[in-house]
Amino acid sequence: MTPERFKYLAQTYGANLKRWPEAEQAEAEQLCQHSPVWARALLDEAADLDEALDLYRVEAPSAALRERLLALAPRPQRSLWSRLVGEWRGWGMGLAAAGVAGLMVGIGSVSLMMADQSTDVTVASAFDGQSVYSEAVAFGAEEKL
Amino acid sequence: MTNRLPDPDADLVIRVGRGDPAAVQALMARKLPRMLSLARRMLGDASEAEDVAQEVMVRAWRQAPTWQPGAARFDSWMHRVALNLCYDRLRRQRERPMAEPPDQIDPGPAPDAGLMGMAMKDQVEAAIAKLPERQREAIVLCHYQELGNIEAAALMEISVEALESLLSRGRRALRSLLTPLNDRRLEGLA
Repeated sequence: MTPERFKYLAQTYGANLKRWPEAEQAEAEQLCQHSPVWARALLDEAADLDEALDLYRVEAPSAALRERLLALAPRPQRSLWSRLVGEWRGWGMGLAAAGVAGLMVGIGSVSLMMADQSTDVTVASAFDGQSVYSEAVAFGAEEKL
Repeated sequence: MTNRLPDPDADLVIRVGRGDPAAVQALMARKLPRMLSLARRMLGDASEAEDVAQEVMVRAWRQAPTWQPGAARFDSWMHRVALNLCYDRLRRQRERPMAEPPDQIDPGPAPDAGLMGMAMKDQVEAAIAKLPERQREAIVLCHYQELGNIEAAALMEISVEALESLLSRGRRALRSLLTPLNDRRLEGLA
């Protein structure tokens, strides 16, 4: 590496040799070892600007920004099996709810039917009672006669 | 060339794509400050930088489930998205008509004199904002984002030689803007 190239790279990439083109880093280090005084002077000059640039720090992301991004981040994916189980569970819950509803309707209907039947029996009994009474009155009247 | 390098974010991105909460936190911790810094130094405005960083991360969330490792490094892809968003905003800033065009010469201090009165950090910020956009981009990518010259040149879609030219001119301009300040700082320290 020529001194001119070394100077150009120092003025381009700064004092940190790790920021220099990878292919030229080893040669630059060798040159520093063989010509330490002027190479160090060039690097010191570049380091002044590097240090000034490093003063420009950016504030950390706000908590509000991080929270907004977390709210928008991908959610955990469920496996095919758990999704199927979940769907079947949903279907099962639906069927169970439908079954319970059907059972309630059935019980209600049976109750209504039984209530109707008991009314019929009562009415029939009432009519039956009336006829028995009528028959008794008729029988008593016949005896009196 | 950079496409052949292993992607240090590949595993993390795949886990983010599956919705792994720990991976989401880790990727955000790794990339959000990086994208915010890039946008802040490119745009010089904290609020706009936050908008850009948020948009980049949202796009990363969307991209993660379909990300194909090997096509490009995820970090490079994020830088590309961030730079595009920054340039969109810079273009809009240029196209925005001035509300009240100045009809007389600004009687305020000259730009360099303005820098003199600022804290050193603000002076550096102001000096970077004064650079032409491409020089600023080159310095932001190579110095602050610590990208290699090949990756930075690829992102800027220029040759490494052209990148070096931008870097060299940018640093020279910064030196001329900041040297009087550095001298003053050194005098103050003596």
